[in-house]
Amino acid sequence: MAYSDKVMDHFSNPRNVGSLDKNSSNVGTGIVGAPECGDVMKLQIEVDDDGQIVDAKFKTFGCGSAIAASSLATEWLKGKDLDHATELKNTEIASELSLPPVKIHCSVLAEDAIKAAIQDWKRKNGK
Amino acid sequence: MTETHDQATPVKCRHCDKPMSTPVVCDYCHAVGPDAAVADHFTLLGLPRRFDLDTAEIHRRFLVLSRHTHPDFHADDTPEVQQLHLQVSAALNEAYRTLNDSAARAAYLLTLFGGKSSADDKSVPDGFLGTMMMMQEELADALDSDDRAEIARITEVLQTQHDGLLRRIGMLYEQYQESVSCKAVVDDLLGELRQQLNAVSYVKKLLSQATDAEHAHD
Amino acid sequence: MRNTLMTDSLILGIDLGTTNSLAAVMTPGGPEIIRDARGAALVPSVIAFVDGEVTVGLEARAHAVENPTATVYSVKRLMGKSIEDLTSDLAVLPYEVVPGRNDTVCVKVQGREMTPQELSAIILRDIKARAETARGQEISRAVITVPAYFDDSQRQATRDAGRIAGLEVCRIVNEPTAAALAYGLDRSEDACIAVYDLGGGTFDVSILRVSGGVFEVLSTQGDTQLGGDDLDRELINLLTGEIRREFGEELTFPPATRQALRTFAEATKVRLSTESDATVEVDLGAGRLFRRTITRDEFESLAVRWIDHTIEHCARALRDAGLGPKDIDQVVMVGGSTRVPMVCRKTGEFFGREPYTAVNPDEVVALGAAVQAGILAGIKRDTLLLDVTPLSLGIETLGGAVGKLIMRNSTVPCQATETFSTYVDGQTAVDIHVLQGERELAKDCRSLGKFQLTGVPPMPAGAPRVQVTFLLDANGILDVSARELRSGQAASVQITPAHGLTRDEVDSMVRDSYARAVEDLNAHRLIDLRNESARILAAIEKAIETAGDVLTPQQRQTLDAAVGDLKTKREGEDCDAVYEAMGAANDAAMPLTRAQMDDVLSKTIKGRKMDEV
Repeated sequence: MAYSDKVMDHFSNPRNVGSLDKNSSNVGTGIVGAPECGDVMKLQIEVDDDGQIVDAKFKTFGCGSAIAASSLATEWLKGKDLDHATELKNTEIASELSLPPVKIHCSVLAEDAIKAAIQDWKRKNGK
Repeated sequence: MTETHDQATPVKCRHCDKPMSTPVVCDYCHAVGPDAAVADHFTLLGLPRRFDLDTAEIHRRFLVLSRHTHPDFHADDTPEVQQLHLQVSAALNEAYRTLNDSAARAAYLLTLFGGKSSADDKSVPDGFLGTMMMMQEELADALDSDDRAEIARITEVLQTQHDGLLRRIGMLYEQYQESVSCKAVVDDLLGELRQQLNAVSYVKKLLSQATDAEHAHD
Repeated sequence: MRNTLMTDSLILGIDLGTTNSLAAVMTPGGPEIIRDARGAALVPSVIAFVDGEVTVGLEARAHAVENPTATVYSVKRLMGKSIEDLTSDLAVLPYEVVPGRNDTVCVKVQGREMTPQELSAIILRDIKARAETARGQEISRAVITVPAYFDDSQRQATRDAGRIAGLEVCRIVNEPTAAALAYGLDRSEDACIAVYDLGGGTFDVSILRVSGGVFEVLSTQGDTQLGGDDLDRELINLLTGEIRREFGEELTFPPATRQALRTFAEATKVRLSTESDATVEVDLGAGRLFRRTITRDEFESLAVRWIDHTIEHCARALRDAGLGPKDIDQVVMVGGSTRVPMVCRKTGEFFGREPYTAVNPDEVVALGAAVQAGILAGIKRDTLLLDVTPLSLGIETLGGAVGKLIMRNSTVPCQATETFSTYVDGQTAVDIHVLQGERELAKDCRSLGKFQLTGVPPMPAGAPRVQVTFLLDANGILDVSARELRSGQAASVQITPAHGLTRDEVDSMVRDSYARAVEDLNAHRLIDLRNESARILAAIEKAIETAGDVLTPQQRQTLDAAVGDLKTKREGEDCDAVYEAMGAANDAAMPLTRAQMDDVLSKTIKGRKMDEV
């Protein structure tokens, strides 16, 4: 059976791992967790004056699925504006695709983290 | 012998009609009860629904019930009976494993008392996740530079945190026993218990990583 | 459905060892080792294929040096393994090992490829036959022991081997636990014991709590590729290295020489247990003689890293049990390799107490298996074994990580259920890859099998509820099922074994071996009948000498004819005919027997007063 290449690539070579300066007013930081498994994730976005996300970084010490999901999420985020960022979804339509299952909480962790980061930026910038 | 839990009417053995102290197995004729495989852990072990249980008593009851239900003593029975004993034994082992560990017992009790699951309520004390994230990074750095003293320090901090959380949880359950009739108080307590238990989950995960790191060179 | 009576309940306890195998049964007086006519209990786990014949045990081991490529030993190390797992073993084995089906291996001997299961079955059939002869009854059920650290594939392989040998395997028992059972049988005090089991090919350490007849395993650790054979290999490598340095680096070692070196290495190791040095002499042919004296200190410096590994496992086992060395009341040593003095010394240092060596390290596991057999047969009701699974079990999740469902050291039987979901919209199938091990990534764990859950109705990602259930039985063997909850549809599930035989393959081997077993059975029966009839003939002959004149001419004629017939029939192959002739001879000798009885009676009793008798 063939894996979704994109997903596998994001696990073996996760993109955008690292940190941004959390004290900068352009940066929104979200730290979320999944108590079911004890995984913690930090996701940071850098937003320019036009409200566009120019950079995104994540750090997680969690399970492989969460890592892949976060990596995909940060790739997807860059170049989006804040209003559309929360529309993150897996839009690949799978026909006859068979994949290993995901832990349920992992797939929502990335979404939670993005929402938290955006909320933090908005709070910092009085929005 | 033990307090009867706050459950419905005691079950009667369908073979000899005598009352059963646990739905697992009849005290008189040792027939396995029909609901044994689906009873909750406390009921299964014949223990009251409390947090502060004596671990020696939990163990004693586990051994007694194991003797009566283990599939080894039914190797000559029909496949159906053997399957029943297999399931009951599995349920008994799971019940013991959960109730024997304080954090697991606390979490399980919360679900029985109607508290929210960790999926429905992820809240933790303010700033807690930030601290966890920071400690994760410290542990990762200590591992990279093989700083044994630092690893040991982090482990100790986590252990202290773990023990403190469990003490707090114990106190909350005591308050729960006392306030069980007042719904508003109970809801608050259950909410706080959920928060503390969520925190324990993160600490336990990090603590096991730190302990593994500590002994990596033994 | 089986409805057995107590009389049918003899279950054999079998220790199927890397180096030696043996059996025991539970009797009212306790477990008893099966011994042959010479009193020997151990059967070397060696099979020789020579001149179209298959021999097992001491006889086979004798063939090892002359026929190294056709003498198979240490088969246990091949069970449930793939060719990649065995690289270091293959370097020293003189017989040929080739890849088999389903990522397993086969042994190629005299042009025929045989699986480790079939080879182990040959040994098991021999053990079974010996036990049947010793007990005088047919045996069809057994309890077989395995290293505690054997994974699911290795346990299945052992069960398959039993089936092929014509045995219903009622239970697979962990070796250290079996040893604990035998050790603790006559002891009534509660205790916390550690069983340190170092055999020929495997190492296990188990921590148990014993109270009121319940033997509860708290934790177990081990390595299925660590044992006395590794200590031998260190010596072999030392010798081959020095031989090459002395006689030429390009020197190769043909199978016969490799086998000879192995024999020397093992003998040296054994000798150094009691002596401070041992000398090895190897004839390399063409006038080249290699001579070397090895001291115990030298051997210990080679062995130390292996023994230190075992101590690491002991430390981990204690941690998993939540105990320290001072909590252990007794350290029981099991397995032939615990005779190496350094093993006892280092173990004693770690646990802070003198290890208990009074159990027979070769026999205690078989005795324990017999006790467990007794429990299952309903003979022994005051003892219970609560064992654990040694390795965590889980499935592969997206991204290559492992989602654990059952943690290591969970008491069996054990059940766990967890719910997962899908990653992409419209995903209609889910791959379930079952794994065993402690690592985080699937590729670092042991694959037990794969199956697909198909027929999931297309839904948005994250919507399906895929419930996976693991059920681990008392043998530590796993059953996995999966269903999608929202659709309520039953899923079709097929497990492809990762390192083993499929059900069909085992069935066909059982059929093959049954055909061969019937032959074997006849052969055995014939031997027994021949022996028995020889005894009858000797007894009749003696009786004729002492009391022959008691017979009438008619009776004498009948007897002579029956004796003559028996002598002829026992030279033939027809078991039933021999049996009948034996009966006829016994009947014909009746008047003689009665006369003898009268004679004895008249000498001792007749004519005496009642109060004198």
